[in-house]
Amino acid sequence: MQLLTANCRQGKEPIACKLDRSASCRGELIPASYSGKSKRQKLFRVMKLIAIFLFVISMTASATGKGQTVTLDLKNVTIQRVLKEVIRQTGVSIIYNDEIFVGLSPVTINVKDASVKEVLDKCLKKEGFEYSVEGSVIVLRKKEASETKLAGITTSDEIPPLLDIKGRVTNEKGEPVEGVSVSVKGTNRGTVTNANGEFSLSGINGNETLVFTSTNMEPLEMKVAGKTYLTVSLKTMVSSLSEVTISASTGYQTISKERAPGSFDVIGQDILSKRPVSNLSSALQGLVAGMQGKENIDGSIQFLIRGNSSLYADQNPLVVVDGFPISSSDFSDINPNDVESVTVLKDASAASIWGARSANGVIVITTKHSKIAANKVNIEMNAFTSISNYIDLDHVLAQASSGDQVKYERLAWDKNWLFNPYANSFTEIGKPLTLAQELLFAKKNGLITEDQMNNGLDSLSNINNRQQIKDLLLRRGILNQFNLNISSATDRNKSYSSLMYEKRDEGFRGSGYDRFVVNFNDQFRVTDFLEFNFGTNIQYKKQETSGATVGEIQQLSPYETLLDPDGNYSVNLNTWNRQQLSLLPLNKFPYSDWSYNLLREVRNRELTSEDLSARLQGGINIKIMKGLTMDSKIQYEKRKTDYDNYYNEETFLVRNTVNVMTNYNSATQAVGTAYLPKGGILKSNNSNLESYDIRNQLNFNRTFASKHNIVAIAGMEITQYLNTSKTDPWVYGYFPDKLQSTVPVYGYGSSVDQFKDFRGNTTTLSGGNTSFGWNLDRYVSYYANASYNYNSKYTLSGSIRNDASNFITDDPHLRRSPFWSLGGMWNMKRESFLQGVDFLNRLNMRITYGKNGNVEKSTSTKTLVSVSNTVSATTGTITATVSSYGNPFLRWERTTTTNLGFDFGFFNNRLTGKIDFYNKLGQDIVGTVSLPAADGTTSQKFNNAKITNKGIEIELDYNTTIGKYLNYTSALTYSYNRNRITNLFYPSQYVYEVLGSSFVQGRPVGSVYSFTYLGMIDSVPNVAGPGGIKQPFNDAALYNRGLGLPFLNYEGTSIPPHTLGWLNSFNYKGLNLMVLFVGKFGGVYRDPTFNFATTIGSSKTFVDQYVKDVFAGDPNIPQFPRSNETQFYLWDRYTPYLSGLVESSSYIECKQISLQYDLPQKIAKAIQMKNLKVFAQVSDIGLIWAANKKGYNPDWLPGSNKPVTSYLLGINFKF
Amino acid sequence: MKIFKLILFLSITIPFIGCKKYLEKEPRKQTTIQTVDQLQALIDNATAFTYDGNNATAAYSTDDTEIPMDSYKKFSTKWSIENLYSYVFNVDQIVGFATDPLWSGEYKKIFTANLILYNIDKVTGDNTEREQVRADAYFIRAYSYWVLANHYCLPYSSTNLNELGLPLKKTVSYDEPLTRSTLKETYDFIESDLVEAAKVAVDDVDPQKRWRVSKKAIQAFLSRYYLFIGDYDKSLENSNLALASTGATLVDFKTIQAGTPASYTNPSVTLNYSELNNWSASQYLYWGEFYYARYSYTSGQWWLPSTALQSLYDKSNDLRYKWLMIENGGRRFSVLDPLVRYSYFFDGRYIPTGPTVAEMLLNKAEVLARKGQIADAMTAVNTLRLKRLINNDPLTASDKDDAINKVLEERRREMPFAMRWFDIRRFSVNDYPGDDVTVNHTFFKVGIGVVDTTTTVNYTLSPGSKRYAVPINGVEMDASQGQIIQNNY
Repeated sequence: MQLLTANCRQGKEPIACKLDRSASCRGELIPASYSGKSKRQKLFRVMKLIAIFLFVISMTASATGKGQTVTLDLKNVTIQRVLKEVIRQTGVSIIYNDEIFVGLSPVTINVKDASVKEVLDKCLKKEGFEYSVEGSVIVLRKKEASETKLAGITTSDEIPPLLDIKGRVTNEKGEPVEGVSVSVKGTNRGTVTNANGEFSLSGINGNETLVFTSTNMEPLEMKVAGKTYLTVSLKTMVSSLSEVTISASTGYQTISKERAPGSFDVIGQDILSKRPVSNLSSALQGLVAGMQGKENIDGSIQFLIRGNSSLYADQNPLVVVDGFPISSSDFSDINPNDVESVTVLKDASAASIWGARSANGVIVITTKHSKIAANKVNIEMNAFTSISNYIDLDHVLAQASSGDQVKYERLAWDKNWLFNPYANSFTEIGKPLTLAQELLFAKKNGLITEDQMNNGLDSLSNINNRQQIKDLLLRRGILNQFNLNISSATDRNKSYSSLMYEKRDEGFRGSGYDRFVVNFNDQFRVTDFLEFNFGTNIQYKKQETSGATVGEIQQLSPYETLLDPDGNYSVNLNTWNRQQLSLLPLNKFPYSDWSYNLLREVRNRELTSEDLSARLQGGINIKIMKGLTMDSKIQYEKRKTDYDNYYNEETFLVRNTVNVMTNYNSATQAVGTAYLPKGGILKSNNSNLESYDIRNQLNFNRTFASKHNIVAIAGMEITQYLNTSKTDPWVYGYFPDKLQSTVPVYGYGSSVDQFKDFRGNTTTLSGGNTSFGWNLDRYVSYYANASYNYNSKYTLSGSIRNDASNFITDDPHLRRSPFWSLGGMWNMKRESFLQGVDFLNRLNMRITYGKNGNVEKSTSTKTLVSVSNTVSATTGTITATVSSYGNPFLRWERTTTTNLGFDFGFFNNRLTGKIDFYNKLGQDIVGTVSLPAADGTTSQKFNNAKITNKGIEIELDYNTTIGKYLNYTSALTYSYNRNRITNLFYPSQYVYEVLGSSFVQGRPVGSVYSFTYLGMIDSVPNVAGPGGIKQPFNDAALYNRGLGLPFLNYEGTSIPPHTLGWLNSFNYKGLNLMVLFVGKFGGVYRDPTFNFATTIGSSKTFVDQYVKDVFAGDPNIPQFPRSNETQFYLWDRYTPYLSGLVESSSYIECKQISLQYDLPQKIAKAIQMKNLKVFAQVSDIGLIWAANKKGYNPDWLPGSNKPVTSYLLGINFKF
Repeated sequence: MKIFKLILFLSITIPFIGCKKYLEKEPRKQTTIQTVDQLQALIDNATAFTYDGNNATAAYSTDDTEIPMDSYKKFSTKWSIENLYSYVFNVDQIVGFATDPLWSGEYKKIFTANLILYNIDKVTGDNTEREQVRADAYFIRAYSYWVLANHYCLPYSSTNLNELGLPLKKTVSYDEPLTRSTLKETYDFIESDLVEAAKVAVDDVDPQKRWRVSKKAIQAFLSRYYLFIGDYDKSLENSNLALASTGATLVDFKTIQAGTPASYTNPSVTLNYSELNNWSASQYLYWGEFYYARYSYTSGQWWLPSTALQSLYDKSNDLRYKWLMIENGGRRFSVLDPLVRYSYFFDGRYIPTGPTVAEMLLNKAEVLARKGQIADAMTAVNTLRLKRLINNDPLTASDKDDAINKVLEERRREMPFAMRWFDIRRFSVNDYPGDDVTVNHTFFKVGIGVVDTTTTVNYTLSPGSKRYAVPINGVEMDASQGQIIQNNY
């Protein structure tokens, strides 16, 4: 409702200024003015006025005016006020021209439960107005003698055949426009388009001209010229582009972008409705300059807005849904179909209203609410299926081929590159080998002949297990989503409900989920000054993760199959040495079968979780006086997740756990007590989240003397998040079909009751304790902001917020921190000197400055301890450790942001866009500082680091129509971010730290360093050390103890500074094609290379695929070690970091192509629908360009489970 | 209507006034120190106080250790160059290490002790418990400073009193100066902490909590403390007091069982361990001879007894050789040469260094011998040997020198690696030149990061050497921004 009245106001004002308020005009409007002037002329003038100044006061839907009732008690108000009240109470759409009411005396009306008709009759009829119900809209006009006159004109001409005309009105993008007034020029006959942009008029003279007008669109006249179907394309008005269509939500208020100096990006239905997704974040990728996405395997995105602004605190933007922050920042419990729009707040002015949690930016999600008129129901249904390719095993498994692995293993055996080799003793039972190495040792120990060994190795070389893995463990991923939403309204109540069901079968068999999301919100108007809002969002998700994992398939040697040719489980080596295991009296152990097989494991476990989460919102809005309202809102959130991991007796996990916990004497081969019962094992735990947020807020919005607009809010809120978790004791001897379980009869072992496992080690049983987790975050905040706008030209805004959190500190003052911002905006196009510049349609300058905060709660001014929650098996007591040595400088992290921005529109707004420059300076950032160990620790986190982020963001939208029907829009977003850690006292950084992920002063977060490779010297590779000395790889001292910064090469940053998103959209009649490209530039990554420390003989080892580069003699990397080399196990300290392996990580990817088609209305109508849309989409199509030589996607190097191409097909109905 | 609005407004706003206490609820349970229980839990985390950080000095810098050169040549990866630096008494490379686990480990214990002492009078809880925890903290601090002083400072003697002592951290403040005190100040501080700790109410060792301090534990430690500063009377007095304990008693090695043997082929050998080798923390923390549990640790679990040390044992009769000196022990690390490996607890990771009944008997015997009370000295030694040898043929001594020699030999047999570094420092400065030890390590030339196996060097550590003070880590000096200075070499 507020939106409707706001539109009305905003749309009206500029026009009101231009109105002729002369006395003569006033005189014409009262019934006495029939006399005198040519009525035809006057009619024409009135019609023109109506045509130009008609206002449509509804964005959607339809009203018949039947059945709604109005209660009014108004004294001496304008007729417009009465009409607005009628609109507000009933939701009907009334079209009228303000001009027609000019000069009318105030009215007084007192009705109760009256119909709209009664009200209109009462206050308008006597004033000489009439109205008609046309389609779903009430059109008001001044009653004149025109009708009879018109009739006269018409009859005086030759009568052409009367036609029944239908047509459809669309905008530049080919989208249907609802609520366009269609009138016959020179008459008062007309209608209004429906939700599909369609209209129909009957009895039209073929020579007549139709006039199309709408609030937001440029008016258009079109001759009927005998046609019976008209396709009309309207242009969006410049003024409406800037004033009506774009408003941004900060979560606390909705503000017009034209009056907000802050840096906002708004993504609306035009994009969201075309990107069907499971997780909302996927739909935002590539659309917002300065919001860099890092993709997860499930397609969801982790966002980083305007660079890293903290080292240890949360880097995620704050996510706000319908005004309240939600506890998860991964969007996972939001139904993407419910999202109306997303606003991204990037600078201080936009975000500082969120104070202490806004330094990383804020993503504000507004969900759909019912916007339709009373007594109507809208139903929308949406369904899609997305099918993915198989997981790319050749990518996920970065292992060598069987041939290369056996080749390397033989080579290593021959060259004696062994490391603590298996020594054929019971104590070596914990050294599993590979199948090939088993053969090598068997030959060495005289168990097989050389020929047997060679035959065995040759046959292993020829096995490739990938087809079996694909057939038995993988499948095509399938995502099915079904969504239904219903909007409805009655006189006092509007509601929106939706239900989503989603089922995902992941690429690994046995893994996937079902989820239901129910969303309901309701606006309930009690009186004209009191309104209640309620909302609930409930999600239930049942997930199964029994399938194999990437880690598990990577633990198979390339020649280890899952099933042997007879269809039995084949041998997968794991945990134990097979030869030593075979020497045990296995039949005396609880489980005589101690073997492992991945397929058997996957088939015999049930790993499930159930998640139930609910978000409840309630609010009350009180109108206190003109322009002043008060909101009181509460959100309560609860989430409970239960995990149940059940392994039956067939699993290695169970058989192994039970057998290991068995007493055994290796000298006498006597098997003693089995501490664990036979049977399955169930491990359960749960986690709970409970949060609330209570907010009281005063809102003020008033315009004085028609030029001075003041919008202000002030409020306070308190927030609490409580996370708890509990891990239950393991259930042993568990048989779910019999509901049986067994408590270990000998207890769990302790310091007073020593258990010995089968290897003779003292031990205790796992899972004996219940363990708990508990974490509480509280915030209390006071905030206010205000903006003043003069004549729609100049805006000044400011905000202030004071946050406090439950930090642990001796000094409560440290808890509070003020954050504030100032901003100004200049709508330059409104200045007279730019009025004449026709090609420029819009030019705004924005400048803001302010401070945001961030929370790093791991430290305290006090020394903190962590006390165990179970009795130690070693000491038999509760124990404690020091968890933080104390941060006497504790305070909030503060980020100061300056932002300068321009918004522009050229060539009738065919080219629009904006450009933003920012400078973010983070101070008091928590950084790790070197300390002498004599202080008790060698490092501690202090608030003394500084980080700067400087950047540019550009967004360009280009829109053109080619030929008659083809419309092309292109949206380009580009951003550059320069990140530096400018202050950090951590001078003594060792080589391994610099090469790892440690932070370096003067460099960006994610800096990449390298060694200069000097080649092989005396069969040992060397790098340049400090002062250019030659450092052989055989000594790890430099890596472990050398100071890195003086000699390592700085190669760049792993976080690409340049990011690009390019969305192209083509519209042809009902057909829309969208193509999205994303790119990242300017970063570097390391090419993976052979792990030269690949030893054999001491465990199940893996040879990676890069071994073939060494076999091929690549000069940029070391060669194999010489025979009997003993130190090669140290080579991996150096090899991965050679400078030649660092490459540019720039790439451009075609992320998504989607196609959608709106079925012609005739067809939709024929099946009783308002609209019917089909859509298709291909995602993760692949790189179209990469800077690196190997063609890798640097975000998904070999060995990672990268998203695979998926194909989506869906349908959308509206009733 | 207006009144209705006002009521609504107030009813919503009023509950928000006055939530000062709201933010004092801490984000986690038991994070700030508020009760004695929490401080006791810090002490009861015994493994935080009972181990040395990797002590390369104890494992490599004494004459108890010998790395056979031909074995090194064949299996050079089994000895890290870091440990070899200690073996050859290097200074510069040791200064250049990334970290010194022994130094940082002891200061971490000192921090916790300081934290406890800072809070002990502020927390709520039972007073008996409070006094016990206070005594524990004083003792932990004294013990750690004693260990540090006996590594990083020159040996205690009247001539060295004004030499460099330790940075004495007495609080948890980062602002406290870290300049090095004098050796005298260091020892005075240790002694004053021991005096505070001695106020403990509990008299004897609790066999189930050997990491908690008692009067007997303090007396045992004082016996060592006074022995090392040459105050023999007080040492003897405290040895005798400690030996009255019933909580700490001698373990008869004849009762020790065999542990899990390990067999290897090619060539075939069987390593016969004692059950102690299998013991984990939940057993060895309760080793019956301890007044106070404390262990030395070396990375690689590799204590290599020298031939000189091995020759001190009656191999067929001495159970310490049978159970702790593992013949062919190198096979554990795939070293095929028949090396003997010293393995006490937990696969040879830890050796006991805390005050034990055995040490008390040896301290007593040594003082008596040095005083010329030969027979009493031998009685004390034989009390120990009774529990260590299969057939105890009592030791006898002909004169004072013989008695001192026999006692010190027994001391070396009983506590190899654990006490040897401390002892040779002490011997170098005491009033009896006859016990001075020169450590000779004949080894390949150890260069910067490399071992030159073509050149042999005889490395020695002689009495009076400045190298009796272990070099302080260079990073530590940098991080202290010049406050901590290096020993003079």
